[in-house]
Amino acid sequence: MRPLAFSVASAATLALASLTQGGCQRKPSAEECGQMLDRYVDMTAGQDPAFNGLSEERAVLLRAVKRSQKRLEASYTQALGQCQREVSRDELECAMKAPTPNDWEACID
Amino acid sequence: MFPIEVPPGTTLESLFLDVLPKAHAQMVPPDAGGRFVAVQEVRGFATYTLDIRGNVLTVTEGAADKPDFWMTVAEAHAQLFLDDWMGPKKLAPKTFPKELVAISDPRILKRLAMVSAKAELALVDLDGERVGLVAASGAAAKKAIDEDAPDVVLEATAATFVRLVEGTLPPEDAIADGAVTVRGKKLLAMQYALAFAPFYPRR
Repeated sequence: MRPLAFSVASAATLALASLTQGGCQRKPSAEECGQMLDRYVDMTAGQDPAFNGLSEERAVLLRAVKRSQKRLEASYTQALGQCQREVSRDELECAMKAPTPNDWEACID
Repeated sequence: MFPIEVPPGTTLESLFLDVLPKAHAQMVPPDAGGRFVAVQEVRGFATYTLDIRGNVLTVTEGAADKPDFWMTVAEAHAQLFLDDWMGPKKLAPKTFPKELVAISDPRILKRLAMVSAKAELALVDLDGERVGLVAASGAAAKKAIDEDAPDVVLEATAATFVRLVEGTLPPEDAIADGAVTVRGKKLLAMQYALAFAPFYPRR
């Protein structure tokens, strides 16, 4: 997998570019897309050594920090817009249930 | 900062070349692996390279290229700290936590190095003066020392500093409740604070 710094952009920009639309299902909202991207960020953050040794309470705090930092990146905004335009509801639901970052990426490949 | 005994007559030179290496060896366990290089600039005085390998800290004059960390402080401000340690001890904790971990411990440095940032740390009320230093870590430390335009500025009173060192105020709580005020990128400040969390005394 690509490094976290580029992961949202890579997963949600490169993969989404090849998507076909999912019929007439309602498109994901900005909030739903945000949750989907946050899930990816959370899962990849779990592999970050900065979390080693932290209590669950502190890990929750650091996850929130990492998520907020990611939201400030241009790649996140780009991925959010692309998600709203190109991700189907089935893909969104698949990504929201994915247990690993690889599975998440597979949902939208 | 080290909560250390500073012998009378210590100068800035002997602090870096003698006192700090001894304190490091005393406080860091031999199995604390890892190597880190830090450059300490005391503006108007000297620049030192601190080469940390486990519990061995070697200090040489001059600046290593592309260190893991750099810090810059005005000579007058460094002297204020030193004078306090040898004198009134306003910045010295009254008690130390049982599981005290030195800030130069490679286990902490490893976590701090994951944060790429330039930060200004300041005490706002030391003898009526604002006293501070600028430090960089991670990728940001690979750039030349430059005290201007830090990503984040953290300010606290001397009393808050002592609570942090005593182990009675976790850094992340100090930021969250405003005891440490943050300007600039608050998220970086929180990352720094959480870098200490696994080694901070449990309450």
